[in-house]
Amino acid sequence: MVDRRTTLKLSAIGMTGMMSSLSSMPGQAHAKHTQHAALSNALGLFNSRYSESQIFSDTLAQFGTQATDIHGDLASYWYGHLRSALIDERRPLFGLTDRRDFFCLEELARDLNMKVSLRLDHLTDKNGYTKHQLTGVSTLSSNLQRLGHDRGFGKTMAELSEIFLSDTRPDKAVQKLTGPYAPANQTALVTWVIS
Amino acid sequence: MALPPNLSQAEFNRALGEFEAVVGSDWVFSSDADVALYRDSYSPFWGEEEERIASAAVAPDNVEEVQTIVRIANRYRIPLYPISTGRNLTYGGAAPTLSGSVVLDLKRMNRIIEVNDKRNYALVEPGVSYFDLFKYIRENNLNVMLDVPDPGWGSPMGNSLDHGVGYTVGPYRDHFGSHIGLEIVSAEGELIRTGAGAIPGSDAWQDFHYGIGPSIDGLFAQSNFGIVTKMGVKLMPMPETFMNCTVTVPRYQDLQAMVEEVNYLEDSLLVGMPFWGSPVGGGLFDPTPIAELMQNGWPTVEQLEEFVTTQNKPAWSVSFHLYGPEEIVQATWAAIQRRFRDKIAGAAFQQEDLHSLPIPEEDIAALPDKALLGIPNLEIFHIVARNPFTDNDPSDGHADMFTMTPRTAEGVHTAARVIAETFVELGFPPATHPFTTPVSFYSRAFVVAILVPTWRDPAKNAATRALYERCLDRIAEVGMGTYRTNPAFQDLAVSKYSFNDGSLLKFQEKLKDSIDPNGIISPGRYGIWPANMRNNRG
Repeated sequence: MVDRRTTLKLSAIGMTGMMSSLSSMPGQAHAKHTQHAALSNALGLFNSRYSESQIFSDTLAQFGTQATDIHGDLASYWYGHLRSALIDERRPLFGLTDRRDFFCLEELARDLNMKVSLRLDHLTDKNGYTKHQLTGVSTLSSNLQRLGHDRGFGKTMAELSEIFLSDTRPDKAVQKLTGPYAPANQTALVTWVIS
Repeated sequence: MALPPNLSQAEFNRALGEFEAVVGSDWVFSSDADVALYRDSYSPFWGEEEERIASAAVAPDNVEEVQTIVRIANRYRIPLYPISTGRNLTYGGAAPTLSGSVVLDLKRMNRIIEVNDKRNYALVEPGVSYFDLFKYIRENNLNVMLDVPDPGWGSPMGNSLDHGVGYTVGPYRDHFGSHIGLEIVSAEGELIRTGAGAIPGSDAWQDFHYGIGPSIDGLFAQSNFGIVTKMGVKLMPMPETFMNCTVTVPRYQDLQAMVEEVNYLEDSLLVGMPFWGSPVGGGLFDPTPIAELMQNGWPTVEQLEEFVTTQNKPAWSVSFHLYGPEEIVQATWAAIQRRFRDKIAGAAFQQEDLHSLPIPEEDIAALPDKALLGIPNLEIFHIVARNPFTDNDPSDGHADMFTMTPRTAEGVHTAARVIAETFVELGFPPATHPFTTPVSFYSRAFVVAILVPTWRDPAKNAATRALYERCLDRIAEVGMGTYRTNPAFQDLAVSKYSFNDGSLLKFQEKLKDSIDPNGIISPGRYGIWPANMRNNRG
């Protein structure tokens, strides 16, 4: 039996390639939205303090998705805008942020019974080497090799967003995995979905 | 899935069905992923059998639904664990004290019923957060200021009922002390109002807290005697200005004179929260400068004075936060300088900018310490995330141990020494030192604050728990205790308040047995177990 997750995994590489080519084609806004149904239904967040997160946002913008910068005052954004927007229209949240942002959002999202469905940690050491740690079952598992270990994974994660947003069922295995703090001498970013 | 004690899965399913009939199926949460939302992110028992795990959660929308849920819980003997927003991390978060409890999540009861800036109070439901209340006050241009905890994502009610604290002027930063009137659903489902609220038609509920006869409000804080569904909050009129200013004194032995002077100013309501520091010692998060001094044990007074001299810095500092009309603030600052000059040779003074209040919206982001101005924020996560305690091996969370001491230099030094020696005894680097400073959360007591790390690693947590428990034992031996703690340590912390063979706890247990005969409200919270569960005591 092939379930929905397996189907998505099998199609993942092809879709990613398709998204990359779409992003480079001018004048294709309508086509982009058609191909990016999951992405266009989700709310993206990033933290401009981190270059990879900024690249993530810039790449999403090429797909017609404007992510919101939460650098500075995450809680004011949640209480001042995001929570009421999600009450009005429930949509998946996704982002590439630091652990602190993600930790706080995971706690805040309980207000709306929203849960983490994807968690991919990006741990970068002082030499710039990045290790990517995927937890739980995910549509992304067959795409991890695309991320490499150097700079630029923010772009790849944005390109993969349509894939990882295609299955937003909660996964207990990825809930509350760590506290808000980065491991010693590392920058800890996370790509996540809360739905 | 955890189950409530002594209940079969079939019985529990029936109870959940009855809860759904009350609140609707969207508001009963029982899947594994649902329940995981209520885990304590900082649990010292993370992933172990003893971790407190809920069996389900139910979220009522109003008082009547709370009453009906309580009646159902009584029939099934299901323990309920009420939370408002459940974000008091380090003190258990949203997780119940007893595994298998159903979390009564009051997040939907989030109505701001009134904010009155003529009589200076608010009346709120449990699910109202500090952010919600702050936003409401700003949007409605109300002339009042909040006192917020840090981080500020909890609720005024939850924080008050947990004896939480803030950062402005003494009477306001004691959050339970500044509540004014409660509405409570009893453990048997009856609705009670306290103070003037017990008079039908009273307009003075948030003006007069006593009413007549015994006041029972205190029974509902850090307890399990009922479910608070409305609470009045005393608010400070928005001060015209705010100014931060600092006094330093040169010698180690100047601390007692400094404490006495600060006590005078605090108790005269002339200053907001004093922030204590030690330019030679580093403060709460930075004990490293004196690590060498501590290598051979606790130094003598002579060694400490010599150390201060070699550092060429003042031994102690205290920052005052002054609120009020500019004339009063400036005059108070002048009086502070005069008094310190008269009392302590070598006292020095520094004044910072005076701000007009309220702070304009566009200037808030740049404020260095928003909590001083009642502005809720989450910036403390940045501070705790990176400090010398965590940089080498960052933890996943922490269990705060706040030791309450007398407002004396001797009290602070004793607590710091006992804690440091206990850390060393158990193989940890000392978290306190001779220049450890108090925190003045409560205006009439000092706190020596320690953040004990917690992890996702059971072995590390076992060591952490042993350390925490040993510290509680040792500070009790010198007549001190903590005021608030994670459920993992509540039985032990409460056991230290043992005067006259534990007569206080015995009295609380008698009340529990009478008020909540089926023991359904938060069994075990702060050491109060119902009669049928007293063998659960840790």
